[in-house]
Amino acid sequence: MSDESKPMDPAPTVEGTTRRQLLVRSIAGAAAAGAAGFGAYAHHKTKGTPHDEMPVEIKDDLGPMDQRDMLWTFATSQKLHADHPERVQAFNGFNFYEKLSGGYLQGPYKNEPGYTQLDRALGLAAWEANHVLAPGQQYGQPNSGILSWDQSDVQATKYEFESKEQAALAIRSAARALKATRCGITKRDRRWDFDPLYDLEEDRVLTWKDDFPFEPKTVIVMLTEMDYQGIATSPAWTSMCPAGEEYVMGNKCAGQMAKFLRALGYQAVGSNNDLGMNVPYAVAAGLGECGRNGSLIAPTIGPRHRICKVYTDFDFVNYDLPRSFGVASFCRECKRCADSCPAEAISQEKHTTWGPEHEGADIEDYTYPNRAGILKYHNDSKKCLKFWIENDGGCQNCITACPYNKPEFWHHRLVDATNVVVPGPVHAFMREMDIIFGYGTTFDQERARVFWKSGKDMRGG
Amino acid sequence: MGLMWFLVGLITGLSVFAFVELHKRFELNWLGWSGLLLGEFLILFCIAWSTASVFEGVPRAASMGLLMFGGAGLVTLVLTWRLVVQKSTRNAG
Repeated sequence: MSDESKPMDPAPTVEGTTRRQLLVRSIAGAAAAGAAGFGAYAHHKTKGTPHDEMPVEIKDDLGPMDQRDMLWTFATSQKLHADHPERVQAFNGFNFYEKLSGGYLQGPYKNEPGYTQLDRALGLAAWEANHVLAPGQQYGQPNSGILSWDQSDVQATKYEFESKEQAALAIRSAARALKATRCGITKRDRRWDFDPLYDLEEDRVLTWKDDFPFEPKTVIVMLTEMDYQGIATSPAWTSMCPAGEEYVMGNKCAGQMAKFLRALGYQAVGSNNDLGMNVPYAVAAGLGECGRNGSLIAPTIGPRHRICKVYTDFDFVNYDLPRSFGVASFCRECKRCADSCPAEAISQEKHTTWGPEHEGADIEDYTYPNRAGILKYHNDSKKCLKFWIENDGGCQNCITACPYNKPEFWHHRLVDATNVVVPGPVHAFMREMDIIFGYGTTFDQERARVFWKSGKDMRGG
Repeated sequence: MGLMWFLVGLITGLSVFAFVELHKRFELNWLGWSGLLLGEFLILFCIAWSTASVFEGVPRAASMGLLMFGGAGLVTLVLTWRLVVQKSTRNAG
């Protein structure tokens, strides 16, 4: 092609470069820089935005919760049922204690994936170690097993850390070595403690002042990640395994972390479902945000974890700040947990409320497990537990369906990064994409079949 | 997964050679380059997405990845080739 046939280029500006080429290269450079900047910003946002206070509004007069109002404590106590027949009456006469103590987890096996003797056996096996390590903690039983209040082994010599930073790092390093997935440190906050406490074995009210062995100043919160494949089988009996397994890990981590602190010369007590509310403590420790389903939504693992904690009088430590990760905005649009809940126990409200809005919300004997005074989604935990009993197992549907519940693969981290920078309406689109791509299915028998093949690489080659 | 990233790197490297060769043969405008780069990015994204989805045991996500990212990548490449590259000026020699 001859030079004459070429379109005439604008006059050169720099040696060998036309204005047009310069413009195109500038745009390309700006686009590349913009993409890199956007990536860096998104990466920064996935680390969370720190807050001086809890990232949800809380009424000033919010006090601690009476443990006798905690549903698992009430549900497993014959005495509390006898003391509060009006609560049973308000829930259409459904007696949790009778149901749980009369054949729960002993129903007939079914001829369908996820409900066979194989699945039941695995669930019972996973929970077995819990009954040895800290019996009854899942119902709120304090001072149990490895979570004992005994302080007789506190070392006389206190280990002195060089700085608060070093202390926090040492605690986090210990948590990692003890197999916790995450660890945050926060101040003890009476609003999140059960007070009074309740001893289910002795049907006795306990107080922090008279019964607990010391005045806690710090709470170390740890998460342990549940198995993705197991949770994906929900609500099949198979999904009892990851829940039980991580309760065991919670007992282990909390008990061992408490021992670590006592060996350093400080008083400490491990805790799982007992002593205080796990989700607000985990939020305060910067480990995540409270989602619509009431669970802690933690970066990269979402609600697929269990929470344990340690109360200690050690306070020479850097405290973590609560952080927000865009969960509140996402949960407002998503509602997958609420849609997948077979008991319809999860709020479908568009916005968070100060108290329950569900059916029966105006009846005091119905809403005893609810915590009014916090601007969040208030769910009906009684309906949830009722389904557990009817299912003769558990249910993890709200965890399984949550779009934040994803295994550790690069494309999910990319979606996480996108999620924190896009505006609210896009979250509704992302929810739809999550469904179209086949994630978060529940009542999916195929998942149980996949689970029982998940050990194929366990020989290591 | 390691093999997948190796393959993605290999394809990326080969495509650089292909682009250099294209640059020698055709005088492409910004639309041509944008279409080719976008198409290649979508194909690579499709491979990485779908492989990861197979590894995590969600075949539907792999299929959707092939359809949405791979399909979009192929359409972009074909359209760019037919409408831009083939009509662009050929370099002498």
